[in-house]
Amino acid sequence: MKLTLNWLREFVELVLPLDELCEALVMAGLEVESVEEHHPIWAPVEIAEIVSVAQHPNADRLRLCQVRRAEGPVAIVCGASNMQAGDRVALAPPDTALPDGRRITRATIRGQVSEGMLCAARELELPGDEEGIMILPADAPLGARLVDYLGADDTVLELGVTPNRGDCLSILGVAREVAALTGARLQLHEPRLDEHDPPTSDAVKVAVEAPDLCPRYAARVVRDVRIGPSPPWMRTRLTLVGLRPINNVVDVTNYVMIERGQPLHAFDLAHVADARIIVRRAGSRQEFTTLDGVERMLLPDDLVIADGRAPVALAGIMGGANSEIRDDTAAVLLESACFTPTGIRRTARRLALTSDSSYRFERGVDPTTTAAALARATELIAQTAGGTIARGLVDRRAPRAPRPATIRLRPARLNAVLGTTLTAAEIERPLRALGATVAGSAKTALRVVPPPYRTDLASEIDLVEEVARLSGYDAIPATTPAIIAGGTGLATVREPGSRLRQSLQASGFSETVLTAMGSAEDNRRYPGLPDLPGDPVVLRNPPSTDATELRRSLIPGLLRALDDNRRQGEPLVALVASGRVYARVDERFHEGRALGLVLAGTWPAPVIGEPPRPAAFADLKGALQLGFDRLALKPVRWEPIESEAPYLHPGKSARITIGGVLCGVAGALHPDAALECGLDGDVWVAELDMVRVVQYCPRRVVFQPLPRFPAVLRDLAVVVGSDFQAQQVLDTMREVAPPLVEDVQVFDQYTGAPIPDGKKSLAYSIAYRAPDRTLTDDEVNALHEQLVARLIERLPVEVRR
Amino acid sequence: MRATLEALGAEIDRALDDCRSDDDLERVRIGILGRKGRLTEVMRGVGALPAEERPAIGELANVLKRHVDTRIQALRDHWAAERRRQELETARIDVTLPGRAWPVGHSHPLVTTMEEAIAVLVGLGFAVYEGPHIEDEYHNFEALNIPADHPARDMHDTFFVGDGHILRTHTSPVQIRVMEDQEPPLAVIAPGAVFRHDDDVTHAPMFHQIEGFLVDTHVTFGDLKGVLALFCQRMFGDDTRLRFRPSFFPFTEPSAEIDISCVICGGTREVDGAPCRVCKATGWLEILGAGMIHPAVFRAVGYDPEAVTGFAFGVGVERVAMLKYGINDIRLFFQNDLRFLRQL
Repeated sequence: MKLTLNWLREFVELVLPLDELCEALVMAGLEVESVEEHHPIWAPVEIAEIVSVAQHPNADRLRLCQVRRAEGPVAIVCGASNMQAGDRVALAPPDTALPDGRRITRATIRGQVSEGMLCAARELELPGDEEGIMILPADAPLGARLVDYLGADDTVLELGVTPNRGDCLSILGVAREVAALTGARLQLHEPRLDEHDPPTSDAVKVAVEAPDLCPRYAARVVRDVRIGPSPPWMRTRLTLVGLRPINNVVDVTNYVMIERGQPLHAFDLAHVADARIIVRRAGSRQEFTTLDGVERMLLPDDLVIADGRAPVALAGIMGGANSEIRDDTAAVLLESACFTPTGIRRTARRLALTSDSSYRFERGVDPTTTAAALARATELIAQTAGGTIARGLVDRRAPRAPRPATIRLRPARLNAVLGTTLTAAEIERPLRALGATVAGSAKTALRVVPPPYRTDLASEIDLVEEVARLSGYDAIPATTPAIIAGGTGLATVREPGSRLRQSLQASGFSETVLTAMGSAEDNRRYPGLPDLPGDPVVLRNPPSTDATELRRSLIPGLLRALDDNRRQGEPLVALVASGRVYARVDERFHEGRALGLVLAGTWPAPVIGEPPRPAAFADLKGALQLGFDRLALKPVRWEPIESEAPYLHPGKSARITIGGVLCGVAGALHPDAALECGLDGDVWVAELDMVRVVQYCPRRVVFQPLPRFPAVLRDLAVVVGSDFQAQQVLDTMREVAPPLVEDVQVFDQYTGAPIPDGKKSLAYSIAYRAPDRTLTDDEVNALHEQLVARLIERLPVEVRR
Repeated sequence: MRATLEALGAEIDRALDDCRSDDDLERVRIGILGRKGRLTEVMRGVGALPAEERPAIGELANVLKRHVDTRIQALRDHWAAERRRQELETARIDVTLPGRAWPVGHSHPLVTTMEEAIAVLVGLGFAVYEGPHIEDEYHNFEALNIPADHPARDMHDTFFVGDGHILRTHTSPVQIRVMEDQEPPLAVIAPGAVFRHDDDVTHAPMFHQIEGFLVDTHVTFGDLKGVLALFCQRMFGDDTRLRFRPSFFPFTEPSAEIDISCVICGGTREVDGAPCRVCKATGWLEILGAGMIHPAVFRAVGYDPEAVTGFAFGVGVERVAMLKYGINDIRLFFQNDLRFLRQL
């Protein structure tokens, strides 16, 4: 909502300096979004009169004018030719600066002295695109400064008005607020109309067939108007508040809308069939051309203003092209009505058609202002377009027009909500300043009737807010409550994920935040973990063509981040992301929690004198396993992948199970997938189902006592077929281990001489420990022999001695 | 025997004098004290001597052995000291070469800010809850006093996924879900992603909020002011000042927008004589929306609005992170450029 200070001053005295006024508005909830000062540098331009126009003696294209200024006649050389004797014009005397940087001087042009310049509108950056110089209305006061005549020297405020404060979408509304805040008195101009018979009721018949959507409809008629540009001051003001001047009648409807907050519409009465107005639902699907020239499809429930034949306006939103004011319009039918917010909103939203009018109706227009705004517009039309005002108005009101109800306000309740100790008088004062009437007992409840323009005040809490707002939120003392609510919330769910991320970060993975949206192609290639059910969640109104669905996997987002970083020349990219993944199962929606990793490049970052080493599966596994260990997760198993993840390399990837349940996958991106996203070299990725991981996190970690006696280590190297997995031997050893075997670890893998082709050597370290004594060599040797013998029995392995 | 020992002693001294390295010394030592060493053999022979000679010769042999041990140790110490001295003189590394980059991961400023805010609020007594990102319209709007045709819905450009479901436009529906499920007193925060269909290139379609609410029998607007002051001071520093401006949210009344004193100019509106660009020379930065929970919201969850009061607030995490870290483009959070991430 834009307004000018001079316009505001017509309604209320501004007792505060501008910055304090802005501060007061801000602290009352009317955000001042901008303050624009308009102080034209051409202020010396004055209104003068053409006395005579003659051809310049020495130049075909120039005119020599005698011009009357307040202080006497002057000669002006002018390039335009649209003026004639008697015209009021804008004269820039010598020393006037123009917006384009020129400065007017007393000059001799082709031998003739010129004491200034006659100005065109655009030279002063004023609205109007007429050719030639500006011709002002005949009543423009001779000798006055143009800037004063136009009201062009002004300050424009742009206010951010919250949706509940429709009443502040007008100069009058803001003036009321300023009056309430500063104590200044509101001054309301009462329109004076020179009315003539025949009466309006003869000129037009109005019927409201949908009183539920239109509680009030009023109309007036002005005959014999002359359509033309509106007066310069009105055009200036409309331009300052961001509206485009059109013609005198339309400009008046806009002017009064800004001034009073009541949207108005003007019809050409000659194009209202049968001079009948019927406010009704459209009744059927039909096309209707609004005055912006767009053909729109109406639905049966849309509210229209119809004449004897067909719709002539989309009620409260926009008029029709068929009945708009034209250059030859002679009789104007002015509509001032009140439409209910919900109906307007429904239609405006569906048609994606928001107008200044619909914007106001959606936020509630004061039903008691209908007639006053209509009178004000009628007065202004008579002033700017001439014509004869028909006597009286037609005013159709729904039988039970909304009336402001009485609201009970309990001072005790108010103080309990705010944490204040306001007295009844302190509560009543701001309410009265708003224009509310207050009665009743301060002990129990005040009876408050809000003013009719405050359609947002309907319940006790609304009044509590008003009192707090006008008393100032600053005046409410801050207190610190003792919060004694119980419950840990989701700490147990969030905490393991947070610890895992910290561990991965310590292992070199940087944390990322990925958008939840991706393309259908992403979801097709990376359908997420095998247990994620259903189909992708599709956005009905996607933000862009590459974000049409919700992700099923974190991997595509990580791969994009990897690609972006590699383009920046990063030698090593190690990223971790956590977040939700989404699926649709029939009509239900499923949200999983995932954690994803990507790793590619050389690891660790190369240092001088050491060759870089490409990141390997062991780096990914090591980082993840370290994290699992920190969560005390067990038993975690890494097994060759089966068909769980088609986007992974089948020979270089693992499925991760915890307690036998699949919790994630990790491995090399499938070369085809890597090619598709333009990545070369091994790209290591992993994705975990965090819901499951969290399920397997022990609720508490129990510390073990430290062993009192040393462990004795024995190594064992076995030769196995090269497709044998280290884990197979490990599992078997653990299975057959005699008592006192504390731990078995694999520590080496070797191929090459003397190991035959097709075989490999695996080396294991076995720790023996007794809880109550130091084991002797002989004891350990016996146990070790037993272990080796059992192993050979179970597996086709050859022990290297 | 005595003469033999004396001669041996002289020989040993000469041999030790000729030693030039630890290897020489070891060879000499083995020649003297090894299993077949000269002195070893002498000492082995002491037992065969007549009893009256044994003590004196034995003593002589022991003296000689101690002498040898001492000399060997002295030589070793001397050479070790010499090596250290040489090492100090000759060993030089180029300390101007770059250091080895330990592979360390970095925190994301958004996640860090979120975790910090959560920690502050948990410290104040709030418990953490999360809700679904895919919400139904009832929880996102109607239950929060935003009916279908209310203009307040213009504040929420919504993504639709069908079947009456949307991507939540704010974290406030968690209020409803928790209150439907539990009885007061409640002190809850709900951090998480929210989604708005914003055409503006400076807005991301996904961003993050932290919702907080306190519901009990005597919660006041003054309590809201006190709790938010503590929160903002812990996030932005103890000298942070707060300003509560009236505003409008359908699910709170009275509603407020909360500004903090500018983190750059400290509220002085200027930096080095020029107008502060961060607060646009207003001295204030908008940081939070808040208010007293609307009675209609309590009614929607079956609470008696006469029996309980409560406050709720919502903070935009990106906004806080941008102010804390001087980040000027919201898109940087979602690009995950390591040059950006490494700065934290």
